[in-house]
Amino acid sequence: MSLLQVDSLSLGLRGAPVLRKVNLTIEASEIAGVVGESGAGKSMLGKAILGVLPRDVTVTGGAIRLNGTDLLALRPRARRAFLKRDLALIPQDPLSALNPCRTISAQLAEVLPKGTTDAKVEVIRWLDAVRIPSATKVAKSFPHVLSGGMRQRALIAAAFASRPKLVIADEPTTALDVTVQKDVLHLIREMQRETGVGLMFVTHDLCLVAKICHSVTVMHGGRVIEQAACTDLINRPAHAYSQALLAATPRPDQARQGLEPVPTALIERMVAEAGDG
Amino acid sequence: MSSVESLSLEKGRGGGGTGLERSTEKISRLRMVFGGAAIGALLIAALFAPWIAPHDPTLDDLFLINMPPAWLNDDLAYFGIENAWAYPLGTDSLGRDVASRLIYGARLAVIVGVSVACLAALAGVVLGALAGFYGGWIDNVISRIVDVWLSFPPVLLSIILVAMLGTTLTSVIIVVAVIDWTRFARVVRADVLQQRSRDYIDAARITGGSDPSILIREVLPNVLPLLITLFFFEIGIAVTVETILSFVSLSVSSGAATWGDMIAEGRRVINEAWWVMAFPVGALVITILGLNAMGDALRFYLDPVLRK
Amino acid sequence: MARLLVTIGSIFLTLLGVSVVTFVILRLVPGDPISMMLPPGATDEVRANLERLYGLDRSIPAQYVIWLRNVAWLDFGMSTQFRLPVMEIILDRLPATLELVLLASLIALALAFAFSILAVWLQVDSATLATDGLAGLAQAIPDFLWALIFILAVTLFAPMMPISGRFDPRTAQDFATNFYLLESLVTFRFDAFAELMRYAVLPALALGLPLAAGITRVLKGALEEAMAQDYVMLAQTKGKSRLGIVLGEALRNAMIPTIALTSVQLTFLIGGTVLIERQFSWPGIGSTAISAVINRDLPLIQGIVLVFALIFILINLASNELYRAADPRLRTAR
Repeated sequence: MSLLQVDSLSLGLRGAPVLRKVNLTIEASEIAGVVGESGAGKSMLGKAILGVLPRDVTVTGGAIRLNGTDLLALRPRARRAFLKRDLALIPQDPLSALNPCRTISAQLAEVLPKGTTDAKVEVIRWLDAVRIPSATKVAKSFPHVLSGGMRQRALIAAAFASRPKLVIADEPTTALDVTVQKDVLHLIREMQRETGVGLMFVTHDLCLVAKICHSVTVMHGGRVIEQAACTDLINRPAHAYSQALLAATPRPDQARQGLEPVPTALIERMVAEAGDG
Repeated sequence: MSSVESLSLEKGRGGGGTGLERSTEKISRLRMVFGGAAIGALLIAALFAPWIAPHDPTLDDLFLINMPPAWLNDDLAYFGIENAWAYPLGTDSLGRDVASRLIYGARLAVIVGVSVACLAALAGVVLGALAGFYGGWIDNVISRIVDVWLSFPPVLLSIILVAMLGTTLTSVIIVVAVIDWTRFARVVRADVLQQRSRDYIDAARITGGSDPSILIREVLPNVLPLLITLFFFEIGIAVTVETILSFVSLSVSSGAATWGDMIAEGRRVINEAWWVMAFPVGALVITILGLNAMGDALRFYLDPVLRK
Repeated sequence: MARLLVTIGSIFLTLLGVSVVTFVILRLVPGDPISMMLPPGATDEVRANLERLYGLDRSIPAQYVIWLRNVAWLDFGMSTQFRLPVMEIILDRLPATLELVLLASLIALALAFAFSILAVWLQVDSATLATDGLAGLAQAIPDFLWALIFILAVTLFAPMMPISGRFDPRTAQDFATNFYLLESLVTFRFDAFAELMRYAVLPALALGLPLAAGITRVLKGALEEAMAQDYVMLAQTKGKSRLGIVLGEALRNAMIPTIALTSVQLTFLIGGTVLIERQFSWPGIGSTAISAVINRDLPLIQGIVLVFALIFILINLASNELYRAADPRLRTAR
């Protein structure tokens, strides 16, 4: 049984489709990349799994199975219990994802699994684990004294501290300074390796996917275009869109080649194909 | 963030979807209708008082003291009248017709309300615009005056000022305007300050506009929607303050047909004749709500940002 | 320490300014208090004696200096109307006003928090519209009119409800202080407290309704804004219920703008007591102020205006401190 199994999930925004019959499987200890341009629906997929969709976006079909349990069939209370125990989110914007009026330790302590004996010690242990300097002092302070990178580290600590089975990282480095992006990325991979959780890595950046993911799902216009193992997709992209996306991504091994934007004609053809689906 | 998400998030922020937007539009239309009806009725009563009012509002009749409204009047013989509907809303403790006093009171309310709002708006807009546009010591002086003004309880200040200036119609109007000009000044100053920092003012300066012409052509149209709303609010406030001054027996010499005088009198005899106070209070409530509704609706229709 | 000194200094300066302005305005009021005190047919000599007694024969600046010197010794002069020291009258009536204001603020806060939290928690259009509508109504109608509406409603539908005074003089209670409500509470005399509340609840409600509407508008807007933030979404993924998020995450953030606005509105409430007390014959300094103006009781007006100004300043100071305490960004900046 897979850790996460999304079965032909469809979402609608007041009648307009947002996701169309999306399938996705994530195994335990796997890093699964989900790539696509803005509007591809990749973030919505993450929000649907976490059950934090905006008010006017509704599930119009399909199932989301976590270890075999369909989350969509659960009552709200049971689903919240699942969320708390098994799922966690590393958000996109660390600046607005920490409550400015609560201390770091308060926001970390509340995610610790039930039966944690000494929350204070545990919080500091986690802050140390994500390599935040002078963790004891940081734990007592409010978010505004931390830099963006430090806040994202604290949020990563919060995501893993609940000992979840699946972590969803929604563009976790996009809002960060270029200089700290790499550190944060390494940290996420390291934490994933240590804890052995499944990680869904949502991004627009194929480069990042190539670096850390085991498998990749390419999305466009609310559908899955291609799913493959990471090395296969990078080396032998099957779908024309994946090829075009790859051609538009700078690659360190092929320095200073001209980058090709995704051809408009291709997008138009895909939209036309989507229309009759 | 995908475009679909940002779209839906923005909608979500307002509290939810198109349903609420549609109802905002509908509510604005309702406000317009209600405000228009209330203001229309007030104006008609004020303009045509002598023709509508069944009696002389100051004429007392000791045989008709505290007569209940027509539909509650089951003792015509006691009052010695044949048709209860000759005094539709009853009489007060001096036997004066409540309906007629109400109608003539509307006339005074309109006079006080509109003159106060005009005076306060004029003073506030001029001083606020000066402070906002020129800044520096002019702004300092005007802002300081506004601060001092605001640190007095307005009701106490108006009572003291009316005691000082005497209880004539003119002095009541002047006092309320003198107290309330700050409301306009603050809004206009803040808005002019904000507009002044925008590029189009510089553009107007470069193309050779003089300061007053820039103020009138470029800045005021932007402040206008808010000013109109405030103007309507101010009429309501002025009518209320006049009532308050009458209530503490400091307004237009008592006996005149004002709502405030009726309410003050009605409060004294409330246990014998509740209707003396009930009708002017009702008229005042409807007037204030009508003016507020009209102001809000107009702002909605005039302000391009709110309409979006 | 330096901040404290500056604060105290600015309080004194503001009070000085207010006292100068009122002194000048009051001395320009036509109609003099002496003629109101004199019996008909009093001789000029009697009048001159009285004028000298109250210091009214000097020039205005000289009167002000004398007044200020006395105030330094907490002597605000004699009321010409009651022939009692102004200080005594104020101390006698201020507790009634303070209790009324306190009760009104509590009612306003309770209503505002209940409605805002409910509307944001339920997140349905009907609840949002109902809250906005009620708040709009409560704010459009001034406290003076609410009082009249309550008085009318009581007369017509609930004649047992008192609409005048602080307690029933026939069943006069003995209290050690003039804070009747507070005293009955701390001495556990709950039946006396309930009886006092029957008198206090309507004036307090009339005073508090517009304030409640003002707070509701700010608080609800701030809550809605907070609920759209990312930390709320993150809290959802932590499995918190919506009510838990509103209370635990959004409310603290929404408190910051709410405190700033409430303090402004609270100062309006102080001004509002003047009329409400008069309407409900509440024996506080507000109703005393009106009778002092009507009777040209200059020393008393002067003293009361100063007390009002002092309360104003203290409310602003308290709200500044609260604001600092509520916003962690300001707390560490200190």
